[in-house]
Amino acid sequence: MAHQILSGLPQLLRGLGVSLEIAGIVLALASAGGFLVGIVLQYGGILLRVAARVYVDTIRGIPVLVLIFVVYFGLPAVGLRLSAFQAGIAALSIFASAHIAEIVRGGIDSIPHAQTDAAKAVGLTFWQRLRLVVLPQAVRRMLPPWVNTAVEIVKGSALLSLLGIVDLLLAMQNVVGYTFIVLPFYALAAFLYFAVNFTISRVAGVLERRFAYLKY
Amino acid sequence: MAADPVLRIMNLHKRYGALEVLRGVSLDVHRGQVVALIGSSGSGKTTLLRCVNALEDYQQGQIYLEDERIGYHEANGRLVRLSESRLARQRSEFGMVFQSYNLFPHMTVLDNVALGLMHVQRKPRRDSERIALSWLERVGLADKIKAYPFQLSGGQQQRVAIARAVATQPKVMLFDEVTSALDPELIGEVLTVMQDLARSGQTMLVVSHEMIFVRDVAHRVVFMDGGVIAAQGPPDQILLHPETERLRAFLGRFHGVLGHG
Amino acid sequence: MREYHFNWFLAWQSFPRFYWGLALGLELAALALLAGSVIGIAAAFGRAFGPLWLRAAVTSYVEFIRNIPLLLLVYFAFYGLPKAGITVFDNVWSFIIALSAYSGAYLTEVFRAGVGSVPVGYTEAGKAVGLTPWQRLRLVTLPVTFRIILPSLSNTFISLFKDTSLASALAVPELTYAAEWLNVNTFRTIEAWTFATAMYLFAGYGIALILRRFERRYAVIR
Repeated sequence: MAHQILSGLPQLLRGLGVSLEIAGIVLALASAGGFLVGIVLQYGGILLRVAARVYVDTIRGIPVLVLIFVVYFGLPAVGLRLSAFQAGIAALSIFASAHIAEIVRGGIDSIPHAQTDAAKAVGLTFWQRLRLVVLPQAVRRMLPPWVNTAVEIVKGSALLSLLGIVDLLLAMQNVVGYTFIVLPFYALAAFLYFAVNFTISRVAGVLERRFAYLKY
Repeated sequence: MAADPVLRIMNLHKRYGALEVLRGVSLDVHRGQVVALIGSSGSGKTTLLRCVNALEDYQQGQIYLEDERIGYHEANGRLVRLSESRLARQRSEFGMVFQSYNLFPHMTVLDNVALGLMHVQRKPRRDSERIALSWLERVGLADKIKAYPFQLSGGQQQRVAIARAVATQPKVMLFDEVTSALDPELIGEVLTVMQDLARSGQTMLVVSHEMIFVRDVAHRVVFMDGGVIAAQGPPDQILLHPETERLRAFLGRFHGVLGHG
Repeated sequence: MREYHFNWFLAWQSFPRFYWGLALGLELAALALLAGSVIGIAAAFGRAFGPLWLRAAVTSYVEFIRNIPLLLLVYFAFYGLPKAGITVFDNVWSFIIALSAYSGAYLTEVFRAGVGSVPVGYTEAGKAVGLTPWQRLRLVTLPVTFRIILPSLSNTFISLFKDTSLASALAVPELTYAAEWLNVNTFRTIEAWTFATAMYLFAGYGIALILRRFERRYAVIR
């Protein structure tokens, strides 16, 4: 049996690679998009803010799986042909961007108003205030929940197995399917997920401590 | 000081909802003058200060810095707020020091002071740092340039805040109760810096409770009460020979300090 | 869009599937919340007062569950447990087990925080009145804890309700499965997913409103 487990390992690792690739792309896209939406939520005109709020609340109000299916099945119906991989990444990115938007808005909102006053008094323009005073401080506050979102994204990538994408979860199911060895591979897959997410959280903890000199 | 005033405030009215905070305040400040604003909390003195550099808005009135109208322009008889970028440029002509210092915690002391020089006046980094360093020497903190605000005492932070405000050579400096949040033993070092600035000819508008400082340094004292200027004049006249009941009552709190009452 | 023919009537005929799917989803979430709370309370106390091995076990459990995908747990409950000898559970109960184990990990943290934030004054007053430790637990600590964590419990319930969508992977006939069924059998994709999305949103919003009212009555204002 040990021999069979070993032979299944490369497939699992390939699946892990796919999962990580998906998570990386989604995190990048969602961070960029979420950042923009977050800025709009905090600083936009009334119309933009309402639109952004509706977007964020709708996306967060439905299960991520439903969003994945909506994108995967719904887009072809309106004429857009995406591969499963692209659809999955699009759906996960949309989902995560809504969460990140809230994180960004909350982070910026938590900067004391007095800091903006002081920045105004020095004569900085809106974009200068954002770039030099608000965001450097806000980003440090956004780090923990953002890392949480990264972990959620890695876990969410497992749902793309339902679209037939051979990530770690589907690779595990395939290997179980042809070797008929169940528990060891489940344990292995669980361990790999755990290792990745645990590492992400720990690294973030280290980063947080490096910036802890920002006492308020 | 026969020249035109550097700062003219004319008939300022401001409301917070139903509450009238400023009811027709007019004030002139000439170059090199130190004008002190005194009064109880709620009298409108801090609000007035914040209106000057457009941190607050107002419904009626005009503020002029030399020839330029601050904060608003007139369109069809209504006040229209200027664009953010114009406001930013106007604000850079003022230097403001806050009660709670408001240093930027993520920057070193040197970077705090150099910020306005680099990004508002667009001076190169080397020049900005040199100028910032000279001001930090002037306020006695040259040895702290690489420190972060949280490593400094309240008095030290406030002196950095003064350096930050004055580094860009503003036409008028605004001080908003800058010693009220300090422990008593730290107040002196800050007042010394302010006195030094006053002596070198800086135009200053100071909201303060420090009556000794006001008596010794201010050229003119303005007593605000209920959103209007109730009395103004030289320190000796206002502080030592108050003419109205309200002013006497207000100053009664400080009688030990001022040596009368 | 040109090639898609809407047929809302056909979709409407399947509405009972959606309706009962929603009900099943709520039931699954409620059961998981209940079971997860039992696990959470036990684990929180175990970690606070138990011997070293118990504290380590609880921490391992919580950290492990929180870092792996729920779907993996679901598959394990359905495909893995039988291999370990436990064959009695069908797809619905397998899912409930998986979701309960999942929610237990999160609720451990909720209960731990809740117990920790009971103001010391309350327990001291209990001591002063002469209550035994067990009575203090039953009459003071737990009721106050419950009121403090009520908002967290509400949010957890709504989260769990959304997580029930994963039961569709085991062909459990909840709301997401209803939409999948309609999609696969009638190709009315847009109608199917519009129904599902709308129902999740309304249900979520409705639950939140009801729970907010409940909170306003019972949650402690400190």
